[in-house]
Amino acid sequence: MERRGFLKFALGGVVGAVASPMIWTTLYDLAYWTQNWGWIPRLKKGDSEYIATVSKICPGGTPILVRLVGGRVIRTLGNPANDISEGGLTPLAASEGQLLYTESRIKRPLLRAPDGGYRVISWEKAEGILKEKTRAAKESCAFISGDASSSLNDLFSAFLVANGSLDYFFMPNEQNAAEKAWELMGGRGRVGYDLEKSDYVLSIGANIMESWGTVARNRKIFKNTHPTDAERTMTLVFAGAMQNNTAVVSDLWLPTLPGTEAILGMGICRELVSRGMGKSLKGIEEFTKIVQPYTLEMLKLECGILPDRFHTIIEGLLQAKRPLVLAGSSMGHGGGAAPIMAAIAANMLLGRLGQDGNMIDLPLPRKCLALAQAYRRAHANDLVDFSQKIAEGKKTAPKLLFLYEANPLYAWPKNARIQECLDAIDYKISFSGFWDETSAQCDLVLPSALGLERFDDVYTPYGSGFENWTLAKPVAEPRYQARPAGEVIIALAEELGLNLGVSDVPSLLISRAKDIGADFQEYLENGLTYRTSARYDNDWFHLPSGILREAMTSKIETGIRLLPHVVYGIGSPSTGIPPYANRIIADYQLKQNLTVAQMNTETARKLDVVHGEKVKLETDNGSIDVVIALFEGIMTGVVSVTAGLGHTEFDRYSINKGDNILNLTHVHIEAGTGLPIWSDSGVKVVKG
Amino acid sequence: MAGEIKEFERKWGMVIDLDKCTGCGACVMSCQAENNVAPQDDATNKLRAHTWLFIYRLSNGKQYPEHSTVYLPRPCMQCGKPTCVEVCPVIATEKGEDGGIVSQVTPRCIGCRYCMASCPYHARYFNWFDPHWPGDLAEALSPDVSTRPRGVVEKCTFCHHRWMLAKDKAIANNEDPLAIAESEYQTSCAETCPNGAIYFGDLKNPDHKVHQLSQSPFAFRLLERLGTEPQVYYLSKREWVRRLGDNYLDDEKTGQPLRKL
Repeated sequence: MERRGFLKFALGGVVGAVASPMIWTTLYDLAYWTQNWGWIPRLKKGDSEYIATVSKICPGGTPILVRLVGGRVIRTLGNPANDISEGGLTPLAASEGQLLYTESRIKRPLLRAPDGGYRVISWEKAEGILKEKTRAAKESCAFISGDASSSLNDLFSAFLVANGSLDYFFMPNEQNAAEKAWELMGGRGRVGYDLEKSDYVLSIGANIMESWGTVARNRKIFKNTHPTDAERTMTLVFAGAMQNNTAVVSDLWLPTLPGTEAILGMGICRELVSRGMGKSLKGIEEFTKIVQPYTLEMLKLECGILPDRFHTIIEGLLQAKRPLVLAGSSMGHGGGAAPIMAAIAANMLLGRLGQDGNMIDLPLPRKCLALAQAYRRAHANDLVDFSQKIAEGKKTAPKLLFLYEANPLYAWPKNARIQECLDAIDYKISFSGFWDETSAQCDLVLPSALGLERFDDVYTPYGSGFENWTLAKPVAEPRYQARPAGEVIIALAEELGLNLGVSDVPSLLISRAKDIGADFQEYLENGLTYRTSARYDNDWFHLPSGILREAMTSKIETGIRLLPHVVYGIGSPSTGIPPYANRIIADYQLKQNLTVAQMNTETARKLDVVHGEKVKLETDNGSIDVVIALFEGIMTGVVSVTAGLGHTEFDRYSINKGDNILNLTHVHIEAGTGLPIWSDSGVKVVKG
Repeated sequence: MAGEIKEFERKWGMVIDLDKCTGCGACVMSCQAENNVAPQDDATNKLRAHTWLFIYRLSNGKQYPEHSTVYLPRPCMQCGKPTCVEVCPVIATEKGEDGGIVSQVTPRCIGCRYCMASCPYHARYFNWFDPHWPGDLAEALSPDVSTRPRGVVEKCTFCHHRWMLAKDKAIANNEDPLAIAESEYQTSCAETCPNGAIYFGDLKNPDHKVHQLSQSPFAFRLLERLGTEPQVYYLSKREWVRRLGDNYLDDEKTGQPLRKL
């Protein structure tokens, strides 16, 4: 082609292209298809309804309203009609609706194949395996429950007893230590906390606004006693090592090193005794001798307290009409019984134990089923002792282990030796709603219906101030192939010819309602909380002596102390981190995929580290990588790490989010009571 | 600053009692569920994390043991003189004339982000990525609030859809939709807070709690002296918290008239 011909052709092409709609159509399409996203979910309309029930994932038993649209669960809201919370919601209860749909839900029964992978099986096959394994194991079986406040525990416990085993365990909770302390000091029932009527609450170590006891109720009480436009009617004091969620709204913060809660309690008792309190109490002479070493000097040295604030608190306790001292651990568990015994003793010295606004003796839960273990017997079982003995070969491992919404592999410190214990057990069956760390090591994993999909209840959760009962009812059909674990166990028992004395879960709950005087049908319909005023008198209490003296000899860590910080918003060991919870994890808790360790400037100066520096935290138990964040609301010599991170299972919202603080903490045994303690670990900060 | 403060018959506002906030995040969780904010795999980068309601941790700047901490939840301030409205080239955000809520019309938004640059409260978020509800999570979407695509800005709307629903309900009941009770329209965060730290209502209505609380001597607004006239008030009996609300000079006191420069 000649040059002229080429130019003609090119010019014609350009004119043709410009004249044709091709360019404009392409530009239009480009704009259209890059800005109109067909994959944005379209909203589904439908009739809206609200059903009142109770949260089964929030340990405090928060009352909720579930909103459904066209039969689909949309979200959970607080229930203003329920006087437990008056419409308040914890972040964990707020996430319950979304948790129905997460990727981490176990959708079908899964059987572990010889290659270690899992294959989907039918429920019929799963039930056959359940029957076969249970029959073969006979009495060599154990059960771990992750729900301490459910009446279903009676069912599972009865099933275990019918098989000939008493090895029924609960996941770590503060309840076991409190019940032990209560019993040791003469309590006939369960410890209750009448926060509603108190005018001065001293919380030693217990994060009552975030993770201790009946959180939604605690916070409702705070709301009502601290009105925005009027004078407060209750003084709240928090003693702990950090300005946590409770400390920031407290009327006074008393800094106290982690693990020294019992010493502080004893120091308070000493001061009260020296002011002439409790003179008429039985055993006061002996108790006076026990508290004698806990002088102000010792408190300054061991707990790091500030004397002026300590004296303000003593004066406050003495001047209040209805003071209450309570104790707990920053972890929400693992603090032992000694701090709680000291708190009970302080209440006795104040002359308030068993009175309105103080600790009261609530009735012991009666068994719904004759075969079930008694409440105290079941709560006295110690999983750490069981696990460690199996790991050490001092006890024969059971052939079969059932786990119910329990994730012990994540929730216990490494030297509780849960891993070795699980390895030694022939066959492990997990009833779980979510794919958690322990389920991932089980032989048979069964999809458990969640709290919004099944009948269940919340019966006087720990921290309550009165006996109470709330029915959890299914607001939607179980998703996927999930089934209520209680019904599966009843069916299994029938197959095995075991008579548990109950035909289905609602019957069990009806018997619970009847036992405490509630009308099942009424509470099924209204979704409210039934409460009783039942309590024992306080004639049986006595000041602690030998056991407390012994418990106080437990080792106290020195050097840099590790302070776990539990926040409900980050989920629980059995739920993982809920989808929407990522946004409430602050940058002083998690930085990309690194756990953040908070410390004050003075501590950082002593350790020669700076804000933003990556270091390792080490204990005898292990180490984790962290990044330093400076925060002045924390005691010198203390490093705080948020608990609930470091999952290796669940889903994208939980995996690769920092490290699990329980990889650092280590269990030791509290002298006298024999309870496991793991909330007072020392830690080394290693650079490089 | 250009523009005039717009006054309306009703003025929806919020009062947050900072002395009662524990920073638990229940309000943030509820906000997301109510407004169909898509979850994010990683929300540690707080500049990119969509938090219509963000909780700041404030410090009095002193060292232990004199240190004090306060949590400050920050929704959109629904300014009386919104800087975002001034700069929006496509009128995708407007000051509502019925209650003074600053709207965000996402289908009209072109994603220029001028509004984000102009907002002094960092209350606006840009959708850098497609919203994604993995697995069956989209089943939990509320029918009340549209999902938003990539490329647009979004923010807190004081749960404006609840205001619309409350009016619809009143009309259906043959009641005056403009005279609804305080409890008929509450934001999701206000009704969720277990500590009762968040109050919501009509700032101009003497029967509403926020009317009285906003006039408290302990009330303040963020960056008040910029003149944006936020409809969100904070309360704290602690002077240092009120001082952090704006850029006070050392010799200035809070609650004083604007210093003449």
